[in-house]
Amino acid sequence: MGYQDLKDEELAKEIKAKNNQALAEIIGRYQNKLFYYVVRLIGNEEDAEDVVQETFLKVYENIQGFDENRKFSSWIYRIAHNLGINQIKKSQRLSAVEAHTLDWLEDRQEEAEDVIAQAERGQLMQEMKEKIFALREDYRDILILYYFEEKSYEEISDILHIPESTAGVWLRRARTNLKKIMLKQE
Amino acid sequence: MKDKTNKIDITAEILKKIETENIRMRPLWKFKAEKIALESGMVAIALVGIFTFSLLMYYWKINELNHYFGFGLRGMGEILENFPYELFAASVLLLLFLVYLIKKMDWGYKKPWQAWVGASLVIMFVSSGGLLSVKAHEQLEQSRVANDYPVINKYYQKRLRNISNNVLVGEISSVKNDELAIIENKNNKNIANKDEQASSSKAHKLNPNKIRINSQKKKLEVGEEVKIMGKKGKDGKLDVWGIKVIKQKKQNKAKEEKRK
Repeated sequence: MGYQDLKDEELAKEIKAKNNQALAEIIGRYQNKLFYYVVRLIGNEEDAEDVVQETFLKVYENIQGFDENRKFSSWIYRIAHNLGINQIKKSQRLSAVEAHTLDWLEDRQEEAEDVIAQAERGQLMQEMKEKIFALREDYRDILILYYFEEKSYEEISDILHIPESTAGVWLRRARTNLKKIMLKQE
Repeated sequence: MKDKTNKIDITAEILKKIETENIRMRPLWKFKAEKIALESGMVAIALVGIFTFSLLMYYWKINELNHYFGFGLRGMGEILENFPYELFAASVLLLLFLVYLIKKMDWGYKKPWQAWVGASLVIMFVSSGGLLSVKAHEQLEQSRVANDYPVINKYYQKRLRNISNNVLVGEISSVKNDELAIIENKNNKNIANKDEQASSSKAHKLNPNKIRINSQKKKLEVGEEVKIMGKKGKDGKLDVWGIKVIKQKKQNKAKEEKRK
């Protein structure tokens, strides 16, 4: 059985035993997913690549603390999320983020179709993408995770470290706020 | 490093970095040690919190602060004056710290902080009630262990100094016109020092407190247990603001039951 047949959690166990091939497999599986996620989160490609690199280094450093009974994808997204938030705080480029990210998302829409195609659910999704950056940070995070990354409530709860019920409430509020913003701009 | 499809491939870069920059895995024991430290800190804070809260409940109980209820604003004033704010503040701070530590645990985010506050409050109440029901504080007080800890002991000892001169709880020994004689109930069973207990009970039997009823229109009888609030005059007598009968005289009770 090759590494590509192993589950993430099984690969994590291999990485704990200092198996770099398993680490390479994990990087291969997650580098693009995390890259697009972080770009959406922080709105800067260069910074996003740095954040993703740092994420994998953190994964390597802290892999012994990972509980194999939990979901690896939620754990790695959590690390990427935290580093992304730190990056936003560091660069304080929140206002610039909006325009840049929108341009980037539109320019790369076709190229990145394999990753974001599933998130493209008609007109609403398109409009959502444009207005999403007008929302406050926590609402934006949850919309990105739910619609773009297609994470479940449970996974969102594990990534953002909020109760599942709160994830539901935030998502509802985020949708309502987004609707308000859209109506206002019409 | 992006290719034509705007995808990145940083695998080699990361593996190289790990080697060249000598990035090491944090050892497992460090994670375990952190977890143990956090868990034991949480348990310790919970135990101290429970003890502090139970001490607050015990202080309330031995000083019978609930007796002040029913005496209106003056009664509330007495409660506020004698309330152990520092114990209350310590209990609240410990509770908040406990919730903070719970939120730090890797499962702490599963429930909202309000739920953890609620759960911690319930645990503190139930455990403190448990400590009171097994008379843990009485035992601690009698074992004199508390003497080694003046911070705790002052709450045990405060009762002996009679926290307020404005309230008396006891049995009526005589009623004459506007004067009552009361044998004070000092809850002697709980007094730690046996010598003090003996002298205290003896003194009150020999010299029952004299009380001026003034305008009180209550019909009081010998043998009834009453709670009295008032102000001590220069002659040492208590001018009564309010009287509440805690326990009726046995014969009265029997009469009432017959009437029913």
